Amino acid sequence: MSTVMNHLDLAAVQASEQEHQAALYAKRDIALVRGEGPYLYDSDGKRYLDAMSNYGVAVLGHADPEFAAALADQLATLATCHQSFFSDTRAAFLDELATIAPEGLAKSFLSNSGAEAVEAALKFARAATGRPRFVALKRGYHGRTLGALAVTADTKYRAPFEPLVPETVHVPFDDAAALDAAIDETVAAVILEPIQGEAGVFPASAESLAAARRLTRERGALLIADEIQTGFRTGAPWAIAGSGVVPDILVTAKALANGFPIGLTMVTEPVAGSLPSGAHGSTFGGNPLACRAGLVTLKALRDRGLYERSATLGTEIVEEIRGLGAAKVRAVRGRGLMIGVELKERVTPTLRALQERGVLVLPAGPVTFRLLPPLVWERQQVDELLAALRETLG
Amino acid sequence: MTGTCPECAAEFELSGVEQGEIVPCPECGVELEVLNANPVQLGLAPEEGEDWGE
Repeated sequence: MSTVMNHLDLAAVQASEQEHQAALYAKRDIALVRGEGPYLYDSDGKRYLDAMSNYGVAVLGHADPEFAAALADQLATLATCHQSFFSDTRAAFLDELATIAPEGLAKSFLSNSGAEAVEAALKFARAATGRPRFVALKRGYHGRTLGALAVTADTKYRAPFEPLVPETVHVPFDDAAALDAAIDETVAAVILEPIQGEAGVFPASAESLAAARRLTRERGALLIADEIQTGFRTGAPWAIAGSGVVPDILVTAKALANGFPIGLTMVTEPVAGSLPSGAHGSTFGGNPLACRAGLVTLKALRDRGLYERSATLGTEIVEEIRGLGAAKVRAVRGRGLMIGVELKERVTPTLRALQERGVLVLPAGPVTFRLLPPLVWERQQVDELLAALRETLG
Repeated sequence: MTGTCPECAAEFELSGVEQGEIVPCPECGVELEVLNANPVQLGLAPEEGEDWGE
């Protein structure tokens, strides 16, 4: 075990971060300094059950030996390689991605985050269609950069930075009639999440996804599926696959490289063909470290049966939380290991109570807590979660 | 029972709510407080200082 600071002093860590960083985050009162499998440890050595995997990224858990060894090997070999050069590691990663790409999405652009992947998708949609406008969904979340923010719905995120990309409209979630009214010949793309994560874990119906596909296809617009949070954790690589809908563009990030920064924008051949050479790029996108991290992650997800495990455990967790019959729970919903528990009261006290009991979960909107655990959870971790929920939810 | 969001005027179904509960508007996501349960009357929920959201 190693730590960067000379001694594990929470106060010293807090002082350094508060002195040198813009105060953009509401910080919890712990410093996470170590992880092992499905557990995290704070600076006082307290162990926490990780039910959030740092916003859905650490799907292989923490300090996974195979993952760590692969990155160490890549660091000792070649860590950086701009896209103006070919890379054997990047090629291997792209070959592996091709085995799970939705039908027809044969071309990729690699970046460093979900927001970057969304930015690329929006730019590519404009280039491919020659149209300016975007249609997004109310309660949708796509990122914090200016383009992604324009298609993100929450005014809390948007207001300080307006005006945003002007040709953007938000329509109600899961409402085919509203989409029908909004999509016209000026629309470059509709962007949506198959399951709205940040908003509270709301799965879109297969019917509304099919309507989005039909309407965009009929009217010459593209369909962008945002699988940044849903990707890899709903029992299959892509949540939208269950609906039978194939988008024109798919974006993902988060779990793709087990927490190493990465973004991916997958497009069809026609979309890729519309992009002039040099029209878009990234200094760090497609670097060998990220590609090696992604390669190891994708292979592990497949070879360790983690898609199947997320489906099985997710179903058990949803059923067992419902089975608690807790009075303060309004609803439990989700797919695989992407679960939302909606309460009848504000969620922050429950987040605090669970943290005190050694379980870390995330908020999703004002009244919902969200479970995005590492996919390496086993039955023991589910039992630990339920024990804490029994005490917390009453 | 149907409630109306005071922020965006969206009408949506509510069932089994109690006075004082917090419900998010399904369209604009704003936090609403159930001021009265029968008939349903909604108001903007008081601001809360902390937010552990993303």
